[in-house]
Amino acid sequence: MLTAVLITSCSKEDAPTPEFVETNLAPFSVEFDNIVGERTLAFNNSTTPYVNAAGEPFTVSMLQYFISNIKVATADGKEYAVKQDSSYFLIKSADKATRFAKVKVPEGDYTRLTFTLGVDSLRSTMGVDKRTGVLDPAAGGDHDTGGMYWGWNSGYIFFRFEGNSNVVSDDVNGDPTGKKQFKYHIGGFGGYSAPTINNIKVITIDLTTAGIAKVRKDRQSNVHLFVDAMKVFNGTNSFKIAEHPNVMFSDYSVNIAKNLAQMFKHDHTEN
Amino acid sequence: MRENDPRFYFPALMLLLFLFSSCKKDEVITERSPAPTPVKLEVPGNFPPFTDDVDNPLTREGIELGRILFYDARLSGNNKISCASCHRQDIGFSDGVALTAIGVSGKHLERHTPILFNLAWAKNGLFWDGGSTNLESQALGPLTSADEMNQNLTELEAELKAIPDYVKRFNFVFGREIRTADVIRALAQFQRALISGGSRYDHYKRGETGATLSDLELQGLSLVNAKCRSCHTGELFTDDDFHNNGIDSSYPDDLEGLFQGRFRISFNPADMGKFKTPSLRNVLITAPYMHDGRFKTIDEVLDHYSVGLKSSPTVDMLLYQNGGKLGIPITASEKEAIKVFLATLTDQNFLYDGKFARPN
Repeated sequence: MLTAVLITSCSKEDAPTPEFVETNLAPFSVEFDNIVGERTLAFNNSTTPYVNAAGEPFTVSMLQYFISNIKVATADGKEYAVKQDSSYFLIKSADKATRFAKVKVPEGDYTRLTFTLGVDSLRSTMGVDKRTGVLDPAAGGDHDTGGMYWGWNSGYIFFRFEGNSNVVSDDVNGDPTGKKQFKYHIGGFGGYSAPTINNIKVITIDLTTAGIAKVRKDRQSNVHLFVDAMKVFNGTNSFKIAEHPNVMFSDYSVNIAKNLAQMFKHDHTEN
Repeated sequence: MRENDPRFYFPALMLLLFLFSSCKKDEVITERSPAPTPVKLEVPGNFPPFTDDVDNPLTREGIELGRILFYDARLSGNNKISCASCHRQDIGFSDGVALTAIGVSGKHLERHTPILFNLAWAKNGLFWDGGSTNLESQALGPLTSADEMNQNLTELEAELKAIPDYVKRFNFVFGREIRTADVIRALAQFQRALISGGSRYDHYKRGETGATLSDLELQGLSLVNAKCRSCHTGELFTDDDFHNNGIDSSYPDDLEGLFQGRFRISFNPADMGKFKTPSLRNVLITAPYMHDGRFKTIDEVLDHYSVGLKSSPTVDMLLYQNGGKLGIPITASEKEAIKVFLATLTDQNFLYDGKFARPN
């Protein structure tokens, strides 16, 4: 078995699919390419704002989210979950380098990709020692500059989406600073000592239509996903910015969280 | 061929396994020498058993580092406010005001500074609504809040790294470069060490030689047992749970549910207006009272329970002590006895213990 792997040729020609061996890890990445509707994501483009299904024009100032617990599966049902400690990513649209979630999975051909939008409940309640790197509550900045942790209700903001729209009121229900800002901080892992809001979403992508992932040691297979932020407004629970300009830890966040799963679309795979 | 020779197969496999197992991202703090000194706290004999935190066990140097940080104003964004600015040892680590405005923004807070002692037994969430999982998460709230210490945590790490004494201490206690997570852990260790169990009541309860309570004090104890102990339970004088004690009948949803108590954390309608039961220990010196400090004296509190309770769908059933009606009947002389007993819960040794005071 190992000998077959060692003498695999270096060419990219279609050699036989390697045997699935859990210790035979190779590079693999998932690319989270943020778009808004049919357009690329640009920040604060007030001259050409985006327009949601309700006809509200808006610009985007911040979009970042946690991706974790990446798993892949072959056509014949072999599954592999990336080692959890290496499977937490903070995708920050302002920093293009963070759009790749780079992991290691066994060599093989994968037809299914699964990942979590958010931080699972077990990790959320582990000691701070086990929540380092992007899970460090200090990472990402303080609350105004992109922090992804709630100090008042221990837990992570899974999906942080902010921007401006002239439909946002200037009173306490909108943006009292008059900057017409909307803020969506969606989190909630289900609660520690008592059950509460759970907005963790597990997303499964079928790779067969747009290109299975052929993971090999000598290359970097990359599954390219589009992440359409317009779906926040236009998903199944479609809503208006004017009616819900600020949603954080609240019942309404559950409605928005259901839209988030619809953002992800597999565009193609580079093998 | 070489590859078919089994003597090549095994070393190659071992090499592969070694390469992958050495890529661990998880830092394991290996045994160091000298290592921090583990501490076994002296737990009062009448207290429930103490369980240390598995991920952050107490060490002498960890507690000491936490104490130094607790009193250090550099932990705030403007370098003027320390934890101790609102948590004063001589008044049970509270601040003596209803809603402080000494935070960086100058805006007054919406909740009263809670007391800090016996938190080693607080396992049901910290803050008045239990929003913080444990001591190892709690400090992140006040540290980063604009109305409290308003600190940028990345800047804090840089500030602390510029101070050689901190670099040395953090390295000794945690074995690595200064990180926010370890600042919180050190503070947690210090707070876990704050134990108040040496009041006159305690000496009496433990049957120590010469420890007596007067007849009036004993009468007060018996009244507290009958009327108050169902929430202010056990030797900790708190059940560490959430109750609606009838101080309001409506709960506006302003400020993202801040006035709705436990409900804003659990979203369970049965939790509307419920707040954490504080301990009665040291109560006479930790005025004002309630989650917003609205009652200035114990008299006001006792009057509230006897004649001032407000009804709402979630007011606690334990407060229906008046022949099926809402209210806890307490006569004037009973109030005096209760107050006299509550005074026996003041623990002067704790309030003035040099171990917990500002370091020199």
